[in-house]
Amino acid sequence: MLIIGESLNGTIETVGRAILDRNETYLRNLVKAQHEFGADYLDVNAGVAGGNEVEDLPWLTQIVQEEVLTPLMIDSANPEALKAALSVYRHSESPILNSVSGEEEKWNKLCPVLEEKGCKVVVLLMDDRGIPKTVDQRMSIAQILFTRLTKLNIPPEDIYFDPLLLSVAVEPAAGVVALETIRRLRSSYPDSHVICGLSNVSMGLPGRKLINRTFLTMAICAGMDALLLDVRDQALLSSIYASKILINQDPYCLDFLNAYREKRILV
Amino acid sequence: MIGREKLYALLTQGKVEEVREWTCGALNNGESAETVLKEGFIQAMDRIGLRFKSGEIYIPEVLLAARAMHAGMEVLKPILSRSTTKWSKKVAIGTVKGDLHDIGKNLVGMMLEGGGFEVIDLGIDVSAEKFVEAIEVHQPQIVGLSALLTTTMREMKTILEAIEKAGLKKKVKTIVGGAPLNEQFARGIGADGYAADAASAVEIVASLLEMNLRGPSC
Repeated sequence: MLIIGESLNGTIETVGRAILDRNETYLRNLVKAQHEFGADYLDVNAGVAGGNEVEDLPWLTQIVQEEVLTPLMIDSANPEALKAALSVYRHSESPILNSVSGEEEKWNKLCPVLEEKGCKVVVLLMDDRGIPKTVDQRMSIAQILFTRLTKLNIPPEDIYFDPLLLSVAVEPAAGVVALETIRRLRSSYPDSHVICGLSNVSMGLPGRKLINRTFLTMAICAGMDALLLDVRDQALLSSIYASKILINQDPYCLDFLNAYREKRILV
Repeated sequence: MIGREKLYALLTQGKVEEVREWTCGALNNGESAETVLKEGFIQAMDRIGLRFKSGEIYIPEVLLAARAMHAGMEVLKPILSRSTTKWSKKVAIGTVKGDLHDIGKNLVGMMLEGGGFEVIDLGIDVSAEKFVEAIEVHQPQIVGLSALLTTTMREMKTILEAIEKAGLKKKVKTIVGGAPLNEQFARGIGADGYAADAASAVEIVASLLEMNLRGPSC
């Protein structure tokens, strides 16, 4: 299970402000905190209204690298910003590029970058027609992109499919569609990974943390093995530990028991 | 007198069939379609919108009511469109070019319809040319632009400039919204209004049109 810290994200108001103000202390503390809570990777997203991502993303990437030795997920909708950030990336473990999709223009811009840098990559299961309603449409986008990435010599294990989770408040079938997509991805691409941004699922509802946590255990059961989340959320982390023993991914329950003794499990 | 409380109760419970019957009943009792719309539906949906904004009820409950309202509107629309008075104001909405996110935009559309506006949904990935063309064809009073990405929010400026260049700035008011935006950005690109969420979109549209939704029928 790969745990990625989501909190360094310019669309979060306080973080966005810190990026615009070049408030390094705030950002460094946020990086350190996520590292201490055990994130395997850290997501770095510098997208903020009024900023310039092509400068901000590499700047932020360097700040993180000065602070901790954690590999990074470089996150932007702007191909130029991604390119700029990858050029300053220096960890020995490959970065995860977040993201490509079936959107042609974006793909055409990122394809040479992927070819040159050979990084891991998140694949959003959407294309120029938007986010598909059905599982079948999502799977056909997965098929197209898997073929393209393999042709670029990106191995299956470096591909992270994102089934795209929508809000159940607006799309009642959003949870079921995502879970079924996860199941199908795991059986069609057993060497690849499935990643999911959890918090969308509860948008517009009260009690969001409970809903997110409940979906998390369902998604882990369906085969999700990479998680983008707030690593400081102890209840969420506790659910991951418990889920792992229940699907036999924690031999002798050692991780769970150690975390329990260290009082990191919320019961 | 129309049974406002009854309609409000039916809408909040999402009773599609009963709302249709209630609407036909009100018309059979001699109420005009305009009265049923304004004193019945708009006021009821406005109450629902206020409860949503105050956090008392949630999106699924608004959608449930909106769906029931549609059943009533299907009865009213053919009659309203025959009458000579303009029965509603039009709002054209769309997600800007390069952006394919439509959940927020759809929600705004449903809330606006609930508020009694006629909504023309231009869809996703809408270019400046398409916005301009839609304004010329449909002649809405308000145009709403949505963007969810920091990369696509810049497109809003392009679209607003195109609207101005086409000489339509005086004919139509513009509002913008989407997760990465804020009031300052909206003002900076010259939009007439900024909507932080779906409920405030309805209020802003109403205030731009200087309409008082809360008062008695206009």
